[in-house]
Amino acid sequence: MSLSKLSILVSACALIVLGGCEHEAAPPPVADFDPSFRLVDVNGRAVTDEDFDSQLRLVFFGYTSCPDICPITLTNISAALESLGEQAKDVAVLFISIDPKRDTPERLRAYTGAFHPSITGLTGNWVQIQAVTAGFRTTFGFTVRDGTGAEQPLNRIEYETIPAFADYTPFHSSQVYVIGPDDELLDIIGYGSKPAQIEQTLRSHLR
Amino acid sequence: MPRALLIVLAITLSATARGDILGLFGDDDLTDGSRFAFVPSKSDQTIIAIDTQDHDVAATLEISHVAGSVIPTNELDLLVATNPDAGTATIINLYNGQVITELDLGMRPDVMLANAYDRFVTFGSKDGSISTWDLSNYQQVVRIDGLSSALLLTFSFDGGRLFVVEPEEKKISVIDMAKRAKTAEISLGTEDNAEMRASAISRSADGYTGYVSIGSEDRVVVIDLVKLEIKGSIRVGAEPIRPFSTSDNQYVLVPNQGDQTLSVISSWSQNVVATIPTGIRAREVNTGWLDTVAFVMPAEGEEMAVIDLQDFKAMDPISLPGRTDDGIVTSDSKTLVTSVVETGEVAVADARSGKLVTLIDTGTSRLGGIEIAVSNNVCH
Repeated sequence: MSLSKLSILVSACALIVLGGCEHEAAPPPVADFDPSFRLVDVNGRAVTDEDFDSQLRLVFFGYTSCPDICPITLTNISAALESLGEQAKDVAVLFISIDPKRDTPERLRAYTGAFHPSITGLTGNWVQIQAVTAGFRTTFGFTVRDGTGAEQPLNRIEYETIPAFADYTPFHSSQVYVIGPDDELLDIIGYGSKPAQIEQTLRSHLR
Repeated sequence: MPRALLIVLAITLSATARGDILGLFGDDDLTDGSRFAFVPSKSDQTIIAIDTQDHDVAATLEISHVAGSVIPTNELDLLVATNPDAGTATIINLYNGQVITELDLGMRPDVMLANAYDRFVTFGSKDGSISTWDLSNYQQVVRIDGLSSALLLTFSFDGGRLFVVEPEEKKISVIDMAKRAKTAEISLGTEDNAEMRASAISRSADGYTGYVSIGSEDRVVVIDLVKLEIKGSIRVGAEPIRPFSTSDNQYVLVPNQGDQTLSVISSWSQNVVATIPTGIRAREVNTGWLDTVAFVMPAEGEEMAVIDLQDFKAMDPISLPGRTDDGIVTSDSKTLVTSVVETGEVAVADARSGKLVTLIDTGTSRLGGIEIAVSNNVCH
C-alpha cells in the first residue's frame, strides 16, 4: 500500500469514526450571491428581504401551476415546519414566483395557503423577478409549444409579450436556499429532500 | 494506529452500517431518488446502492449478470441495468430490490440514457442502432437503425428530440421521438478531412444552445438547438472532450486532454474567458456549490483536479487510490460522488471545501460508473 493510499485510508477511518459528531463548517461565500429583493406579497404590498431579517429564510423559486417539483418541495417543507413546532415561527418560507404573468398575488395566496399558513408567496414585476433570480444565481426560463406540438425555448423578451393564456411552460432550479439573518447563504436543500432531512437542516441553523 | 487495525475498523464500521441503515429492504427502501446512487460492480454480478447522505453502502443488489451501466428512475422507482453481451436490460424494482423483467433489446446496449421525464430510456450501440423503451409498460417505442454510430446521445430539453453525434459522418442526426424517425441532420463542418473525434452535445441550462467538442480540431461547435443550425465555433485547448454547461447558465467548461487545461467559455459572449491548468488528463467535469467549484475527473492517474470558478484558479487536487469513472453531484450541490474504478471504492468529496470526505468500501473489487436519479439542481 502506498503512503498516499494509507493516508487516505487513515482520513477515511477518522471521518467514519467521527461521523456522528461531525460539525459542518460555514460554507465559503459565493462572490456575487445577493439575497436582497424588492417584491410584492399576496396582499399586493411591497416587501423586501429586510422584512424577514429576524427569521431564518427558506427561499424557493417556482410557479403555481408547477405539476411536481413545487408541490413536492412545499409539501415536504410544510411537514418539516409542523415537526419544528414552536420553532417554526423563527423560519420564513418564501415562495417566489418566476411566472409573474400568471401568478397574481391572489393566485399565490390560494396556492401557498393550501400548503402551510407560514409560507409567504411573493411575486413582482418582470424587472424585480429577473433581479432576484440573478441575485440568487437561480436558473429559470420558459418553453412554448410550436405548431407541431414540440416544445421550444421561449426567451425572456418573448415572455414579456406572450399572453398569459398561451401554451407556455416555465422551468426553474429546484434547490431551496437557507439564508441567515445577516443575509448569508447558510445551506442549500436539494430537490427530493424528505421532511425529516429538512427539519434536521433547519434545526442545525436555528439559534 | 497499525494499518491492520485501521482496515479492520473500517470494515467493521462499514459492515455494521450496511446491515442497520436500511435493514436491507425493511421499513425503508431505495426509492429516494435524491439520496441513493447506484454503481455496478465489474467484478461480480451485483449493483451497489450508495447512501449519499450517510456515506455508506445501503444495499447490494444481486442480478444474473455483470452490468454494463445502470440508470435509476425517480418517477417509476426502477433501476435499469444493461447486459451488453446479451443485448438485454434488466429492470429492478427499487422497493424490494427484485428483478421485474428483462428487456430483449435486439442490439448491444453500449450506452444508455434516460429522457427528461425519466419514463423512457434509450439505448445506443456502436454499430448505429437506437432503441427507446417505455418503462411504464416495458414496450419498445422507438427503433432506429442505420446510423454510423449511436454512442454520443443527448436528449433535447423536453425529451422530444434525440441528438446523435456521428463523428464518422461529421454530422449530428436529429431523431424526432414522436415521429419515431430521423427528421434532420446538422453538419459539423470541418477544417480538414482527417478522422474526426467529437463529443456528445452538452445542452445549456435554458435548452437553447448545444456545445460539441471536436477533439481532433481543438474547437467547440456551438449549435442553435431550436433552429438546428451551427451558430459558431470556439477555439479551445488541445484535444477537448465533452463540454459541461453550468446549471446557472454562466459558463461552459471544456476539459482539454491534450494540454491538460480547462477552457472556460462565457455563455453570454461565447468567448473563452479563462484557461486554467488542471495538471490531469480529464475524462469529465462536474460542478458543485452553486457552480462555484468544478471537479475535473481523471481519465488516468490518481488525482482529481479541483477548480475555483470564482477566481478561475486551481485548488489543491484530491488524491485518490486510483482513476475514477464519471461523477455525480447531489441535488443540494454539496457533494460529489464517484467510483474509483480499480479499487472498488466510492469517493465522496465536499463541493464547498473541495476536499475528500471519505472513501466507501463497496465490498467489490472493480466498479463501473455511478448514477443517481435526482442530481444537482434539476430544472423542471
